[in-house]
Order: sequence, then C-alpha cells, then structure tokens
Amino acid sequence: MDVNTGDTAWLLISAALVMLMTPALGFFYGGLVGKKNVLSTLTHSFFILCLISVQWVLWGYSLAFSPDTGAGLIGGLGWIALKGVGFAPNPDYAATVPHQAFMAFQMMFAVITPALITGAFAERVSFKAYVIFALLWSTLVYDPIAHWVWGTGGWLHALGALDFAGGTVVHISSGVSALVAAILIGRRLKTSEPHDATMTILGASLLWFGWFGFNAGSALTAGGLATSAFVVTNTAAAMAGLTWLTVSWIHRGRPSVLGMAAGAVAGLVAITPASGFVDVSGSIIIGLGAGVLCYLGMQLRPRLKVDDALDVWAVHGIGGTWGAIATGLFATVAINSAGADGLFFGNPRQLLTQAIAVGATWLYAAVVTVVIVKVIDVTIGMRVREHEESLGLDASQHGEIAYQLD
Amino acid sequence: MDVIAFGAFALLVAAWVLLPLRAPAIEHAAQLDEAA
Repeated sequence: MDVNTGDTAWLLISAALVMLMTPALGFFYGGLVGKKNVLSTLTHSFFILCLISVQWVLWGYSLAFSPDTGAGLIGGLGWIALKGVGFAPNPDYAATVPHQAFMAFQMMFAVITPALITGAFAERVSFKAYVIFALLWSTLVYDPIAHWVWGTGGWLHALGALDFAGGTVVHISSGVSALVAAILIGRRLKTSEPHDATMTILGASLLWFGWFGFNAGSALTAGGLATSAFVVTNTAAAMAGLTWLTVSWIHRGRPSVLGMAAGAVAGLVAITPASGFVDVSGSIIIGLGAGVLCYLGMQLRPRLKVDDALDVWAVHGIGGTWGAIATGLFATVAINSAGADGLFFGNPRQLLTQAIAVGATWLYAAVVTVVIVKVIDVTIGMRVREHEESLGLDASQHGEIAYQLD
Repeated sequence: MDVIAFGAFALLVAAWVLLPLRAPAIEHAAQLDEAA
C-alpha cells in the first residue's frame, strides 16, 4: 500500500490544528473563570496535552485501536509503546497515510477530550486529584469508547453507528462525565463572573480554527469529503452562533457576545459526528438545533443546582447528543458512500442505531466516572480545602498568579 | 431540508430587525456615564 503525500500532509497539518484546540480550550475556559483561578484553568488544558501525549503512545492508542480482544469492547496490548505502529499505512484505518500519522491525529482527540471535562469542576479541584482523574478517565472511559466506535471490531462500529469525528467518543463522553463530576464534587463556595471575555472570544476563535482539522481531517484524505466536512463545519458553527445570540436576545433583551461564542462552539460540537455525512442544508438545521437546545440546557443549570461551572454538559453533552441523533436524521450517502442514509433519506433504522450509540456512551461514561471520582475522593480527596479555594487555585495549587497589576 | 434551512435563516434575520435592544442594566449604564 503506497503512502499518498498529499493525504499525509493534510493529516499531519490536521493533527497540528487539533493540537492547538487544547490550549485554545484553556483560553476559552480561562476567560470564564475568576481572576484568581486563571492559571490553574489554563494548566488543566496544557497539562493534559503533556500527560495524554505520553499515555497515548505508551498504551492509549493500543487499547483504542489495536485489534479487538474478542468482545468488541477494547483493543489489546499488542501496540503498546507503538510496537508495530510504523510508517506503512494500516488499511483498516487510513490506507494512504503512514500508520503513525493516523496515530498522531488520533492522539490529539484523546488529548482534548478529558480537557473538556475540566470546565465542570473548575475553581475547586485539587491539582493532584485532577492528575489521577485525567489518567484514569482517559484509560478507562476514552480508550474503550474510542474502540467501540472507531476500532476495528468495536461493537458500535460493527452495529453501523456513524460518528465521523467524535460526537459520541469525544463530546458525549466528556459532557456526561462533566455532569457526573460536577454533581459528585459539589458546588463552589462562591461562583465567579467571567474575568476576561476577550480571552474567551479568542479561545472560541482558535477552537473554530482547529476544528477544521478535527472534522475535515477526519476524512483522512485530502479531497472532496474533507472539503464537504470543512464547509458543513463552518456553516453549522456560524448558524449556531447566530442562533444562540438571537435566542439570548429574545430571552434576556440583549444579544450576548459570550453567548455567540458559546453557540459557535455548540455548533461545532453538534456537527462533529455528522460532518462527513450531511449536506449544507443539514448542517444549517444542526447548527440551529445546537443553538436552541444547548442554550436551553444551560438554563437548566441554576434550576438543577448543579455547579457545572463552565457548562460543559450543556454544550458538549447536549450538543454531542443532538449531533449524534441528527446524524441519524440527515446523513446521506450522496455525501459519503461509506456512510448510510438517515431518516430523512428513507432509512429510519439509522436513527435507532444512533440512539443505541448515544445511550451506551451516556451510560458507560456516567457509571465509570462515578467510580473514578468516588475512588479518588475517598483516597486523596477531589477538592481543595476551603481556605485554598478562597485563596484561589493559582496561588494555592501552583504558587503563581496570572496577573501582576500593580 | 432546503426549505427548513432557508426558513430558519430568514427567521433569524427577521428577529434581528424586529427585536428591540433593551436598555442597559443600571450598573452598566453608570459605568458608561463614568467612562464618558
């Protein structure tokens, strides 16, 4: 099998684009927290870039993508430390690029997914607990779900579930886990207002930029499918940003700037699973749905009294679920012959398959996250002490502060 | 689906034309005064 240089260049560039998304997420979240927790919030993202980059090459990639161990639930250990993952293409995953390029691309997905969760427990979790949580969660939640959906022999893959770039694997898994973690860890002593909206807008813009690698890169080739994914990704993000802004205008009387940024991210989340299967009209409807549903989800937070500090569940849990279901509605083989038609194109069965994938991901992510958080809580404790939380995590956990204003 | 997509966008545009901008919150207005 020959390596195609164009495809390889596109995939490596896409991997770099997705890499940028994790520090971008740090800026997105960093602007939303109070000014004594900025560095710790940025660190959550930057640290995980380092941590999972090592975990992935040592054992994460093997668990997620090496040949199935028999039940469709997890890969084996045959590829630990990248043994057998070389420069020849692996036709099971990407027939025209070096296997290691595919591995590197997937690594960046594994990096950003646990980073998404950190918005739920911002401003109150100890760094030590966070380190253990991230490592356990990536190994016990992300790697198995990635195998189910994308791994050769994975059970959801075999069932025919469509997830082009990670609606279930990345967004539902992190969004649901965020909700569970926020419930178990409890509320902050005191909530804070966004300390720097410009930082959040910058983060959202960089996320949008990186998302072209996330979705269009998932075509794994540089051609028509990547182009289609690029166009629908941009369209859905734009439509969701416009929708969120408008809904907030109707609801609150003024168009919210931070809302528009959150809406664009919600649109990017929702189009992710569908980006290789839907046309541009489908992407507009998906963006519209994301803007409305995620906004409504965010309104539930104060009513449920769950302190999901930066609305990870509303944006990623609801957005990812809507996107996965919408894939079952709007997918068409006219866009991707390797996909399937959805309900609107005469195939109601695909909607059922998507619902099964959504339900399984919700259930598994929730249950395993409960176990992980509980185990950490009774051993080293998830939260910082009260005086440390009052002081702020930048000073209490890292001995540094973000701004010297005097 | 094309009709829904066009309709959704048209509704948004109509909303921007028709929606009033509510007066800024009191504390925000005070800040604006101060800045001026």
